[in-house]
Amino acid sequence: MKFRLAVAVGLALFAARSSYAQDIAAALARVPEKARAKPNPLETVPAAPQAGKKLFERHCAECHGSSAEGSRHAPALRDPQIREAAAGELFWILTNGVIGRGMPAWSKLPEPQRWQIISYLQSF
Amino acid sequence: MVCLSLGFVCFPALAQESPYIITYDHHLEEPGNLEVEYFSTFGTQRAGNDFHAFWTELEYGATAWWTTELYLDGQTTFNDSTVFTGFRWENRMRPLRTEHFINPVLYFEYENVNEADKIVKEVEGHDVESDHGDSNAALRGGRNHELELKLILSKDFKGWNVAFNPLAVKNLSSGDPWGFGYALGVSHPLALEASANRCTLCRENFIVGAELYGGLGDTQSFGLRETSHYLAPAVAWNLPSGWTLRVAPGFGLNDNSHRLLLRWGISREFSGFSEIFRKLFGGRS
Repeated sequence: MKFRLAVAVGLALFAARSSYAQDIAAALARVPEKARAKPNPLETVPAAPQAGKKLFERHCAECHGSSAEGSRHAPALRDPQIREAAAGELFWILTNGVIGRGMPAWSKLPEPQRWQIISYLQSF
Repeated sequence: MVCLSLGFVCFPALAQESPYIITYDHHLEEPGNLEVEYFSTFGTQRAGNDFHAFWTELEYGATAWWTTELYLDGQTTFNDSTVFTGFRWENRMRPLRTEHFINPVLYFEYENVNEADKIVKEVEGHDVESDHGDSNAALRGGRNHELELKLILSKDFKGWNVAFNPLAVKNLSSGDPWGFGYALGVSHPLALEASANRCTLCRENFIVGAELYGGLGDTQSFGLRETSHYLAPAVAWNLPSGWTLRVAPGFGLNDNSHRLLLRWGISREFSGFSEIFRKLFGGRS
């Protein structure tokens, strides 16, 4: 019985992770070309990832997990797709959200703070 | 805490709240989060007693595009009495899925409040100071069922937020015409970049701004005649502990306005409420 339960939970988690991987791919595919090309103006600022970590813990960890490991509600952001994405793509997704999938738009954060979060996400 | 008493776990969530108390921007509550807010308004009253009106808001992010809120209103009129004045149910819906040059949000509210209500959460039609001059005993007898519609238009640009809310109100329990009003808000954080360390008093935690709001008459006499208007500087302090404090002293701009509506509020956001709702209503999590 326990074995069946463990298998069921494992399959459910695997399905969720596959679905999240597809969600990330779909979100990245929606980013307009112009936004994709936008560079991170804080890329060379050494303190940006640390400030981004603070902001991530404040605004994003609730859904994505305190170390961006993901949760039942939102995908892990320690994902190769995120690491390899252009900074402009992530900035666009953060700014606009993925409203249909439950991620709110974070345009209420000033632009530099959004770039600081991107710096943190790409520092893994 | 509600969630603990029901046997569920919820956590404080840390939000970035604007300083507006009257104006709405296009940012909705994060899905699954519940924000609990308390606001106070001290109002001066010529030809009557000053008052302290207060309300509690329970704001829930139903989805990323829909926020629903319940308000419970009350007031104390000095040298008179304290009364519960009614409730409001508000819904805000975001029709567009991405950010645009101007971002619209549709707002619908049903109000069931008596005429002693003095929170002055919106100013509409020919609302004037003298409406609040009678005693609570005289005012609380009249009950209003009102439908309020707003179009929230808002834009973020280089750290600035500019929001404009035209509104229309219909009293469903009388033959009164539609009343109109407006609210305009501008805000900006004191610092655009976050510092690397956790801090309480750093500039990034403060957002300052101003609100301008007032009535625009009704369908029978549209315009500024016999209307009241207020200008309120506003500040929000988003504490790292998750609490937000707001202060906005509103100054009356003409003789029909209260001279001062001193507002302040405190709020805190909690995550994990979607689980509670699912379990309470028999859904599977």
